[in-house]
Amino acid sequence: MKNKWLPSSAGFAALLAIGVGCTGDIGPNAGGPPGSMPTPPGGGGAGGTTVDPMNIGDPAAGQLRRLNAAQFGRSLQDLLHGSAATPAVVEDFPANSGLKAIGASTNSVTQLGVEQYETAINAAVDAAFADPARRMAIVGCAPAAWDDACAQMFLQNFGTSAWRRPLAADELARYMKLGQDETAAGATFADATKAMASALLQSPNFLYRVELGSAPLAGKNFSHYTGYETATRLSFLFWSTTPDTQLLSAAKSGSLDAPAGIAKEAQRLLSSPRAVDGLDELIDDVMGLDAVFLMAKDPKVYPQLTPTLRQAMRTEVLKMFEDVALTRDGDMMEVFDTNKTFVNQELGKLYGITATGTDFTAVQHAAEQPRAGLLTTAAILTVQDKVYQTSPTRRGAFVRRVLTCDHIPDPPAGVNTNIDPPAGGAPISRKQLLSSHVKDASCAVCHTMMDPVGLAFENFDGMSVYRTKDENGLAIDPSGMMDGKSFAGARELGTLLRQSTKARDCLTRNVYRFAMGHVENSYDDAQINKLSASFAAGGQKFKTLVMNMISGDGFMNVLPTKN
Amino acid sequence: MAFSIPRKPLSRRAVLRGMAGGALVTVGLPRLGAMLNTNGTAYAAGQPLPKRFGIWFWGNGIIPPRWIPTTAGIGTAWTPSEQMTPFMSVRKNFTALTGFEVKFAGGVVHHIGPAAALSGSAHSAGALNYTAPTIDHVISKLIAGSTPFPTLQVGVSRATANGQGDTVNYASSSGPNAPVLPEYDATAVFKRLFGKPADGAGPSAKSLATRKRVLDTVSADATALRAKLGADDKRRLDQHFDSIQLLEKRIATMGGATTCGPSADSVAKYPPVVADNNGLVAPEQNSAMVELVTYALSCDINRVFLFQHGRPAAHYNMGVLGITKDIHDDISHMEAGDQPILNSAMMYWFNQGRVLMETLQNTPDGAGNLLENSLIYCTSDLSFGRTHSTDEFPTLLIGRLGGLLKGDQHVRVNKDNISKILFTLVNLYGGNVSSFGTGAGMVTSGISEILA
Repeated sequence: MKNKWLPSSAGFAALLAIGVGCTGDIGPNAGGPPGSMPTPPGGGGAGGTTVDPMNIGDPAAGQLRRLNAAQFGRSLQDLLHGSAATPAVVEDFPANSGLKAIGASTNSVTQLGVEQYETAINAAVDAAFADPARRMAIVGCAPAAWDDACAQMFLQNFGTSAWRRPLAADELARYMKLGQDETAAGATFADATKAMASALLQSPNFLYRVELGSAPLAGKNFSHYTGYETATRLSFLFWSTTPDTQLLSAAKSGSLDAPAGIAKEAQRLLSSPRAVDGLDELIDDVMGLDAVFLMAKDPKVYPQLTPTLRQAMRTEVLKMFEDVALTRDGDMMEVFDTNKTFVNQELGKLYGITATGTDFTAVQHAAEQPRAGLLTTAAILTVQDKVYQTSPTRRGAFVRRVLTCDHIPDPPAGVNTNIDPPAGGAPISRKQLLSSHVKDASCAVCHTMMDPVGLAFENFDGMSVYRTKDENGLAIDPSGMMDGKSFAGARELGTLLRQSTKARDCLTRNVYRFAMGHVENSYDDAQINKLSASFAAGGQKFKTLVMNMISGDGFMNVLPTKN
Repeated sequence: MAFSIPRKPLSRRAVLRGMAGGALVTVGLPRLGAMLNTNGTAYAAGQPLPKRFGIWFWGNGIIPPRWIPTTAGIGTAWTPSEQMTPFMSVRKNFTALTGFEVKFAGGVVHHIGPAAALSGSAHSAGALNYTAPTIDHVISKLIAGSTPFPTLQVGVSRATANGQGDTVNYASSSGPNAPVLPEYDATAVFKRLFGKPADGAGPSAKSLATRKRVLDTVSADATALRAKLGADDKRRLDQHFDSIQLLEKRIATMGGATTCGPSADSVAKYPPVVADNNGLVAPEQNSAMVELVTYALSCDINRVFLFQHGRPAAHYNMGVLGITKDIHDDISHMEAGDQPILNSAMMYWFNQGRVLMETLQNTPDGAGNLLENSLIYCTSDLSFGRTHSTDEFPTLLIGRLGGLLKGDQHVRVNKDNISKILFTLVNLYGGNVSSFGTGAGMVTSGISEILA
C-alpha cells in the first residue's frame, strides 16, 4: 500500500484548498467536528482571534434552550420541594459542535422524549401532592372546594417559579380554565391544582429556556435579555437549575437590568455550595466525561475497571476543578501540572496511593513520579484509549481539540488508514509504529500535531496504570515536542500547557461557549479576546473569568429573532 | 376511533420460531386474523393490508470482495457472496444492490455516509447533524396513518468511539438537527409499546380525560410561544407540538385491556439496558428487540422502524468471538490482507440481522408473512473501513412489499448515486416524487429492474 490516507498528491492539494487542514485554518465560526471543542482561536491558535474592533458585528440572536436531563431533574426537585432526587428517565440529547450546551439550543425533542416528559412529570407531581406538607408548600392554600383566589395565588407563585417569569393574563386565564374544567369533571381542589402543576411543567415554557430579549435599545438593533431571562441564564450557568426566589425577586425589581445588579446576584450564586453543580456540568460537557461510563474496555485486559471505578475516575476530575476554581479560587492553569488530586480507595489503588473508603480525600502525587495534573488522570487517559490498549493519537487529539482549541479534522474519505505491520514480525514500540504517520506527508500534516503529544502519555496504560515498559516489554520514550517546545514526558508537557497562552485562550473560549450555548460569531470572538486578556491579568482565576463574562456585552446583549 | 389495534382476544395464535445465535426466538402472535377477509389478503372491510418499512443499520460497512456477488441477475443467475450467505434463508425476499456510491465529496465518512444513504443529503459541516429527514421519517409520513407509533427506533450495540462525542450515535433524524436516538432498553420498549398495568386494568377514563386536558393546555402554550420564535426554533417547537398531538391521539384510544402483543407478565423476557457492558454485543438483546419490533408490526401499532444494530464507526466489543482488539480502530482500520478477523465479526452481525429477517418471514401476515409484506433497507456508514470508502456502498432490500419486488435478485450498477435507492423506496410507498435528495445527492430516477 503506497498511499496511506489520500489517493494522490493532487487529492491532498484539493484537501488543503477546501480548508480541511490541521493548522487552524477553519474560521472561528465554522463549528467543529464531534469531540472537537471549539474552533481555533485563529491563525494557528496562537493568541486571540483577529477581530476588527470597530466592526465586530451583532450579538447572536435569541434562542430556545432545552433543559438537559440533569437540569430537568434538579429543577423538578427544587420546584416540588423534593428530597434527594431519583433521577427521572427523560431523553437527553447529543452534543452539537462538540457541546451538549449547544445541542440544547439546536436539537429537537422526539416523540419518545415527549412521552418521557409526561411520565416523569406526572410521577414527580403525584409524589409531591401525596404529601400534604409538600402540597401546601407548592400550592400555598388548601381550601375544601375550588377557590379562585387560592388558585390564582398558586399560579402566580408556583407558575412564576416554574416558568421563570410571571404568567401573562391570557396564560393565567388558560390555566384557571384547566383547573375549573378539572373541578367540573369531579376533581378535588388538590387534584385540580395537581393537573395545573403537571401542565405548567410539561409546557415548553418550563422545558425550554426562552431567551429572546426585550425591545431593542434606543438607537441600537439589539436588546438586552430581560431581567427574568438573565436570572435564568445566571441560575443555570452557576447552579444548573431553575432560579430561586431571590433571583426571581431581583428580576422583578429590575436590578438584573444593569451589570452591577447582575454581578451582585452572580457573586451570591458563585459563593454558594450549589455552584459545584454548575461547574461540574461545565467540566462534564467540555471534557466529555459522560464517555467514562460508555467506553468499551476489554474486561480480560482491565478486570479492575468496575462501574464504581468509572464513577471515581469522573469524580476525581470534577473535584480537581472544584478545588482550584471554587474552593481555593486559585490559578486555573494549575490543573495542568498540579500534584494535588483527589482519590478514594479504589482509585487510589490504581495510582498506588493509599486511601480508605468511598469518600474522596485530597492527596499529593510524589513530585519525582510522572503523574501530575488533568492530563494524567485516569478519566482523561482512559476515555481516549482503545478497548485493550493506549491510543496516543486519540490522546493527542484530545489535547489539541479540547485543551488548545486546534482544529483536527477526522480522516477524510478514501484514505487508507492501515499502517503496515513491521517487517519480520518483531514487535515495535508505538512510537516507531506511529512514525509511519509522519513519514507520509499527507498523514503528517495532522499527525505531527497529535502523535508526539499523545506519546507523552505512553507511561500510562489503557486505563492509566503507570508502567515503564509497554505491553510488548519495549522501553517507553515519552519525550517529544509540542508547538516548538520540547518536553521529557507527561509532567513537563503539563507544565508547557500551564504556561501556554493558547491553552489559556482555549479555556476562556470553552467557558464562554458553554455559557452562551451557541457557536461564536465575530461579536462573541471580540468578547472572548477581552475576557482572555482580563483572565490573564487577574491571575487566571475562574471566578474572575465568569464574573467578567456575566457583566459583559456577550452575556447581556441579544439580537431580536426574525419571525 | 381511528386505530385498528385489536382489543379482543383473537381466534388464532401462531407460535413462531427462529434461531438467534443459539437463543430461541419464540413469538406468540395474535395477528389481525379475526379482522381479515377469508383469503387473508385484506381486511374484512376491504382496506388493503398495511405496508411496512424498516431499516436495518449496522456499523463499519463490509469487506467489498467478500460482499459483492460475482454474478448478477435473478434466481439461479446470481450466486450469493460470502457475506450475504447469512440472509439466504430469506433468499426469495432478498435483493442485493451493489455498485451504488455516495456522491458527496469531502467530510467525515462516518457522518457523510449515513447522511447520504439515509437522507439523500449532506451532513452539516459544522454541527455534524443531518440536514434533511432520514428515509424512515419520510416514509412514515406516507404510510403510518393513525398508528400510535409512526416511527420506532431501537438499538442493540451502544458501543461507540470513546471520547468522540455524540454525533455518530444515531441513524435517524426527523429533520435538520432533529436526531432520534434508538432505545437500547428492551424493558423500556416493551413498556412503551405494550405497557399494561400489573393488575390488568387499563387507566381510568377519568385520568385519561385529565391527561388530555393537560396536554391541550400545553399545546396552547406552544402555539402562543411559536409566534415569538425565529425559524429554527419554530421548527423545533413544531416537532414538540406534533409529538404532543400524537400522545393525545394515543390517549384517546386507550382504556380497556389490550390483548395484542406479548403478555403483561412477559416483561422479564425483555432485558433492561446494561449500564456498563463494555460494549459487548449480546444475543439476548438482539432477540428481545427483534421480538418487540415484530409484535409492533404485527399488532399494527407501528409500520416504520429503524433497527440500529450498531452505530456508525461502531466499536463493537467482539469478545464473544474471542476478539480482544478494537474492532473499529485495530481490526477494521488495521487488519492486513483480506481481513479474516473483521470478516468473522461481520458475519456475526449479519447473522444477528438474519434473526430479524427470519422472524418476520416466520410471522404470518394475511395470507403471507410479515417479511413478504414489508421492505427492510439494510445499510451501514461506509463500505470498506480500511480506506473509509464510500463507493461500493452496502445496500440490501429485504422483503417484497406484498409482491411489488421480484426478490432473489442481485442488481449490479456502475457507480450510481445511492439516492436512487431512496427515490425508489419513496415511490414504492406512494410518495409519487419526481426527485429525491439535495445537492450531489439529488436524483430524478430510480431502479426499475427490481420491480415485479
